[in-house]
Amino acid sequence: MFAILKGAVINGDRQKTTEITETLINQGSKAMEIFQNGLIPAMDIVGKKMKNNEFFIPEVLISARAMQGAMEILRPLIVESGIKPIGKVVIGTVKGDLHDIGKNLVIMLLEGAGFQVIDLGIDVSAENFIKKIVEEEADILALSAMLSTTMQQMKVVIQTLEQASLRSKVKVMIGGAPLTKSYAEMISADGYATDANEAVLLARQFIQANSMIKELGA
Amino acid sequence: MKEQLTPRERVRMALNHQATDRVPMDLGGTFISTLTLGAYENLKRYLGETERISIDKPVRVINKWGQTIRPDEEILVRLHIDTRSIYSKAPRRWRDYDYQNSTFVDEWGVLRQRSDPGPYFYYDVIGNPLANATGIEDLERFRWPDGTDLGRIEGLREEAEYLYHNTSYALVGNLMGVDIFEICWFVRGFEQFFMDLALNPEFAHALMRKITDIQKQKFELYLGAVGEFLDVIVILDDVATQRGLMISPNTYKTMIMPYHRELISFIKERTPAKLLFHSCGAVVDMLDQLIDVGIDIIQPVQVSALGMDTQQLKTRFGEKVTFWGGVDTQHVLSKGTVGEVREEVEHRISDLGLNGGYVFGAVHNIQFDVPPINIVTMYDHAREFSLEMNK
Repeated sequence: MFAILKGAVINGDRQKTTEITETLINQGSKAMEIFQNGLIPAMDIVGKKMKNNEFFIPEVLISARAMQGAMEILRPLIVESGIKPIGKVVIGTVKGDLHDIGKNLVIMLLEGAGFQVIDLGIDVSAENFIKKIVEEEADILALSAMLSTTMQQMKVVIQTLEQASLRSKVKVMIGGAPLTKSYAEMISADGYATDANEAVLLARQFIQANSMIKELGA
Repeated sequence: MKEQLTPRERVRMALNHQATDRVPMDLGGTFISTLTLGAYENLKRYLGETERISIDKPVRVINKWGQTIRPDEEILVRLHIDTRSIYSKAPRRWRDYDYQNSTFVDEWGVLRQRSDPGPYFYYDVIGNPLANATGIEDLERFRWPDGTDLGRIEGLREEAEYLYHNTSYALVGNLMGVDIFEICWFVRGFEQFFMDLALNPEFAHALMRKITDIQKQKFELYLGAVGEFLDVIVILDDVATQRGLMISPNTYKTMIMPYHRELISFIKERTPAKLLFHSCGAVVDMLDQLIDVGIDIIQPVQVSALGMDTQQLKTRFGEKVTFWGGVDTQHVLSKGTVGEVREEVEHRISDLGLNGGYVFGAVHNIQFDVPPINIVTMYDHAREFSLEMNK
């Protein structure tokens, strides 16, 4: 059944996805099981197909939409069961920038990978990012920008984190058309991802690093 | 070293894949190969200071949301530009509505805003009038632009006739706002329309049908007025991004291609001009289909996009299509030294210029962060280098 669910998500069939999800729940499957054995592998494949130029924008969007259909059923059940997400991400497009298509794709893939994502939208000030990070005790801050002018705001956000003595509390990753690895290094971001797929890998790495550090009692 | 051909001869021969005295050069010939307001102001100031070229006239903005301008004759002559454009005018019965906060609505009902209050940024799309449409009935009820508005062609016949008979420049027809696919995203919402393509193809087709009909009306008037005088006619529809196609070649074939084919045939029945097709990005995987649908010229040849190697492009497609553009604006023109600009110029002309089939220019519009010395170097060196090469 999980294989059929996976197929339905990959084919962007929201109706079938939600139907199978309901059926699995009614048959006694746990929400987390469905999520990890059906949805996450599906979005993984979608991400790979995107990278291989097999899936283009329409295919990725409808897969994400199908997954969201299942998530609407599963999310409340997962919360109820007390299972925590892999990590918490606060994401937004920086101040002065109104672009969000790339960011929205990242959100979909991050949720597909098991992260809880809090989307602050577009044109987000440094102060609002910080407020949300504190409120939610986020693990990761993901910043998006599409213009070479607005990307400078990312430096401001990181400086604001430092001034508030919060820099070490959160991992900062950046993404967007004008960004580069060297810019990320220059502003002391923790990472840079070239696409949504890489963003997920990076986020996972951050969480792994965090838990390793916790284990070592640092 | 001097030119032997007139600009018009040079461009025509290049478009017919014949070798010429030097590479033909374009700046401002199309609305996507010109300069933005900021870049132009800098260039004027620079040429004023270094060469005493003084221009007292107000700047002519041709596209509001991209803040692109029409270069003055003095600049075009100085840079030895071979193309001149016939731009359509604003419709009589529509004026873009300006709101507060640098926001305006265009004739398609699309809401745009400039995120930075300064004059040098694009106006981004923030509102889509058909975002909440649920079916084809909503398309019937929608207030569409009037394709028959004569304001668009006011005075154009006289302008084209004058340039045709009294100058020897190659004439390029620029009818503004004639995209099909792109306008679908603007009116419907980018994500929503791409999902429509997959989930609601009937609706997507109905939308494109409606838009195509309006664009044909516009072309009927425009080409009726100036078609016989043109060497090039421009259409635009982005199908690719920096890293790949937006839609699969198969989706293009079933969903978009029929409308492009229809529009291009319609255009070619009304003008002998060569058809220039603009698409940003990594278009290489779509070129076969675009050539099949009737394009003669591909612009801007975004060399910074994946797979857009100019040598390979010439080898694979050089006999079937003319390349227009090619000089990197993302990195070289904006951040390069004068030496790097010269190298880039030589690189592109060497790759693309053999046996015609190339019109030289920047990839897309020159933005305000491009130093004016780079612009002048680009064109001066292209002229020098290609005259020398073809001696």
